[in-house]
Amino acid sequence: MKYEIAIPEFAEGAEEINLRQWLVAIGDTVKKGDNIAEAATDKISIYIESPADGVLSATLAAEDDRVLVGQIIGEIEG
Amino acid sequence: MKKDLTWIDLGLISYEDAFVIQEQLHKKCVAESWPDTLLFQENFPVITLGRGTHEKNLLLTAAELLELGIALTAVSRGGDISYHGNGQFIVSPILHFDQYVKGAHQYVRCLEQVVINLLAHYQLKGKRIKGRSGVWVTEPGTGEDKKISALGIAVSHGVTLHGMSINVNPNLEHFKAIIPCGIEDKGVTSMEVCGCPPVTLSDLRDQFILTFDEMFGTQTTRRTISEIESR
Repeated sequence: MKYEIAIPEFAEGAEEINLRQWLVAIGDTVKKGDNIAEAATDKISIYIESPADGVLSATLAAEDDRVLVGQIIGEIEG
Repeated sequence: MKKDLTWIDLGLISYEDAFVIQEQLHKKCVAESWPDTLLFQENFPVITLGRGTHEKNLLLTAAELLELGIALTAVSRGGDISYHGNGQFIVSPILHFDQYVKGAHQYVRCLEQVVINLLAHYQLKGKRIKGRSGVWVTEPGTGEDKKISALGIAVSHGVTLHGMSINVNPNLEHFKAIIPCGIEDKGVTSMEVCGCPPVTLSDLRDQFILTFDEMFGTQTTRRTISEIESR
């Protein structure tokens, strides 16, 4: 089953959010709640948690990409 | 009823050693085996290179930095380049921010306001500048707006990391080694340069705690680092 990884609402009204880094690579095994990516505004960075146990099967945004709240940035195959 | 908060002062410590303690504390806060905490520190001179560092923002070579007694270290955090050193007050609130305020954005606004209120206690007028992070002052000597307090927080598992620094009386020449956070057209200043009478970091810490408690409705008491290790 596929689980989507989305940018959470974390900085109300923020216009610019960047995907700063992926903390795991495609093919890596992760557990639900593991930190798998970091997104940031100019003041706040947030670690994005895996929505499920599984393997990171796809990344749909690259490091330094500008992203939006709710945008799907990757998938976990669980 | 006021929420209980803890504070720990690591004193003068290397950036790397303090970061290990911060991560240890964060892990315990997430597991709720340690209370929310204000972690204070002062670092030996160091330039930290975040994962988003642009090489052009480091203006000196490693050899030149060594001559000035400034260490250079790559760090796991995102973001650009930054400098820490003696005479700079650093506080990292490690806390479940949503128990105190509504949302991370409000949390940051409140932290900025704590710094503005704290500076006001020392007769300095801090302000925000739209589109720029941190707290700024108009430097009396030059009349220019310069950054006096840098701010950057991270949230992991609902608990904050990192925080803010206030330049009390650091060697501002050291900042010339970098373009702080990649901001080219604005400088950096300190409380000392802005005419504030001498203040020790421990006095500033005590005043910060009072100001923080007033803003966040907390009651902060001291703990020691050995208490963390024993838990």
